[in-house]
Amino acid sequence: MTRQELMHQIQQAGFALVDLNLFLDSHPQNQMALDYFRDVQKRYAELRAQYEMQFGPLTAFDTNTEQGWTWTQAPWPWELEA
Amino acid sequence: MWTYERRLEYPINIKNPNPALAKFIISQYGGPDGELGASLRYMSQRTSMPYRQVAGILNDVATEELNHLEMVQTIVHQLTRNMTIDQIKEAGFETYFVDHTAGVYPQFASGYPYSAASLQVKGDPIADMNENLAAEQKARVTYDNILRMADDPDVIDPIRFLREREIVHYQRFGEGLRYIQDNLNKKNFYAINPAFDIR
Repeated sequence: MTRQELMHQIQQAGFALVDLNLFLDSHPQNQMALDYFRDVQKRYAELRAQYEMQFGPLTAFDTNTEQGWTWTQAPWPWELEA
Repeated sequence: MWTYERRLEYPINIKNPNPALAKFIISQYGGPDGELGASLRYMSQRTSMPYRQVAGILNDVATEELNHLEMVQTIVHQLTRNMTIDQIKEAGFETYFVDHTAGVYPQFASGYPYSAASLQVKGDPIADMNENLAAEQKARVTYDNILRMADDPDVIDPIRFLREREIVHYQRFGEGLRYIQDNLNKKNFYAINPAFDIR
């Protein structure tokens, strides 16, 4: 997967979690939403781990310092996507 | 994008209500040199910062300021929870109480509502970084003034932490300014605006 393809999948899974988060805040007993959240939660974690291994940290705290301080090297999200 | 973590950056446990202290500490929530303005200033400046490393400093300090906004909100909340009407009257807290009860509203100590007029985004790296250096010093003085008047050790401890962070941010912004100047014409830093003139 290219960086953009992987990012797109993270954005899809991430938005699903954002929306489920809000839904579960007001429907904490909804089993279908709870099951869906668990599935997306797992997928989101896997996608993030894959992205960070290939393309650098998504959060400053996730930075792998074996390659130095890569946090400020990659393009910021407000820059034009390469 | 941002996510929320359910913890404070530094612990706050204020046992006794004290609306007299809340009356002026609220200024670091929504006042002219407060944490809301600090975060919004750096957040708004970052897109016109052409150097990724310095944009990172702006982004990451803006993020820490949100932690501090939460801390000041927590201090004001703990100072105003379980207060009695007698304590409100004795502290002269009636004018705040009538409008906001024990809610935390972003305002100056004077009661003036939060204003973006207390910050600037000039779109010029040298001008913006100097604004930020001044902002950190003004916030440091505000915490110094709060420390002159606060008499509760439960309040003094987290305020000292917040004051110290202003000094650390000032240091990081100073390094950011040096990085910007190292990338400019050494004979005339002002020959161009690297945020506008370099395509």
